[in-house]
Amino acid sequence: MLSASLDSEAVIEAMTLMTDLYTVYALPLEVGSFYNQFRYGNIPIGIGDFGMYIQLLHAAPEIAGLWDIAPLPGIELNGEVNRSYDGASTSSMIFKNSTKQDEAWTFLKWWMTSSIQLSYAENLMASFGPEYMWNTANVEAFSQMSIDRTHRDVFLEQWRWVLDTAKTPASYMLEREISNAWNKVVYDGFNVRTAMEDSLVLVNKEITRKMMEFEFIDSNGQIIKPYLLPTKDNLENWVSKDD
Amino acid sequence: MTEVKQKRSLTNKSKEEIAGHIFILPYALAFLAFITIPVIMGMFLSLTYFNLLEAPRFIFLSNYVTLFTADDVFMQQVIPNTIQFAFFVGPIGYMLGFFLAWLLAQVPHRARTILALVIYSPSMTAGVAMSVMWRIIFSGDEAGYLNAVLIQMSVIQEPIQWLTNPDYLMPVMIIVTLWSSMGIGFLAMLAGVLNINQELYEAAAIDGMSNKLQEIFYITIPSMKPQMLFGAVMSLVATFNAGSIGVQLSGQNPTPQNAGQLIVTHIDDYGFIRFDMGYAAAISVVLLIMVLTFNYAAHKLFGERD
Repeated sequence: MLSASLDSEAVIEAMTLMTDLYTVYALPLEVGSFYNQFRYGNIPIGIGDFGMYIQLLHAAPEIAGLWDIAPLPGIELNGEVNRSYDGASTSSMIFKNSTKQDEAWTFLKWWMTSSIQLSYAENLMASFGPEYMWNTANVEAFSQMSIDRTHRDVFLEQWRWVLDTAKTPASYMLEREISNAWNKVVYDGFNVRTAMEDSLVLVNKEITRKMMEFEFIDSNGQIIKPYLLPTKDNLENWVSKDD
Repeated sequence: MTEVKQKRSLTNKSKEEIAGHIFILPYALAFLAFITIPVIMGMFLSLTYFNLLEAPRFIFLSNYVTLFTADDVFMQQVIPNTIQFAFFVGPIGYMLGFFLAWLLAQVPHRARTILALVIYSPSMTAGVAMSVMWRIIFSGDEAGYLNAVLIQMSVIQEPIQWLTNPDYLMPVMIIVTLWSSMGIGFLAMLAGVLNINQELYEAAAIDGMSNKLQEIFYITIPSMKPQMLFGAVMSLVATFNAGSIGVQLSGQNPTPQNAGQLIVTHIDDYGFIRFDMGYAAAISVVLLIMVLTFNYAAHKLFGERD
């Protein structure tokens, strides 16, 4: 509970691949503007987000129709290419102290329905133009949106692979320490395992600090209340229990 | 009779005093509302645990204990970085400011005005210049100006990551800050140099002063002590508060491997990324004390006793 698995064999292997791409295979470390470089044909291929997709679709008319999108590259695992990628997400919540909990719940239920999400997205595009394409998180609504059919299928395929690490109060430390470890290996020539083990100490320290702050453990490391890691399984348990 | 007269003059004097106080009242109120009260609140918050959602909980000096005993990043990187940054940007920027002001004083009036504006403008446009100029010059791909020039001259074989490589970030930060440091202190020093009585130089020449260097040390600097003090205070405050430069350049907070982490960025990190307001307030109190100490030293050095 108080330890990140940064020194596990799988993580080290993944990190080695991540750094080898730059140290051994000389991938460009920084691209000033992928949008421009791609337009001029200097860079033939790249990984971008939804914003980049919209930009290329609407602000690069000179290469319209000359490019296409595909699901992210991945690693072959058990005969299938694993394209897992993290997805930043936002969520809605209702405060315990609120006096309008029922209204809020009704509103959220209404707002999350596929038809409302779909009509919101369509209305945005209809009133402001197609560049206001809005990607709803509602899969059903997204699959009905009036966008390029083949592109939509690519998005839906990639959607199956959205997988994020479980967020904890100290998650931010995990992210910055992985970045630092990467930075150390790529710029300063550190050994991957050494860099990761240095990072692990700092991450674990922060996890302990946060667990103490939110009173999951006391200052001697004794558990006060159990901390349930919000993994995919746990989240699905919570949702299905109430529904 | 004399008694009455004295009384009247006294009331006149107190009336004047009241008028004076009324005149500074707007500024005093603004100072109270925007400086004094926030500082006191910051000091209070530094003694609490405050996460923006719950009410502050009083924890006495615990934040300071953590800051000085358990915050590795603060002790190992933020403080050395800040000292390194302040050492280069403070004194060098200050000397450069004085030197440029003195140089400008030697050129004719019309050219001087234009040049002064040219030198002063970076300090006003630093924010804009950051995105349209420096980030492109120091861009890490081969299309970045500096990299492109160096590659063309065959100095380097592959682009250097000026902004994300920890070895280069700090020098770049220092260069960019120096470029934009000719601010209000520089203008004050320019005015100071121009206001020196020219007869002093003539008299000194007659008495046997032989070169410009002697003029600077025996006449120019002693005659413009108030402006020198103002410039010193300004450059001190600017140096300690110029923290976000590393974050703007590298585009991330914390900067890669904390290479460009200064006290102000550390405060930003804790306050607005980790939402640990009490702890951030404690760091800012430490920063306040540091700035005050250095200001005191500047007053000792340049201040006049009167």
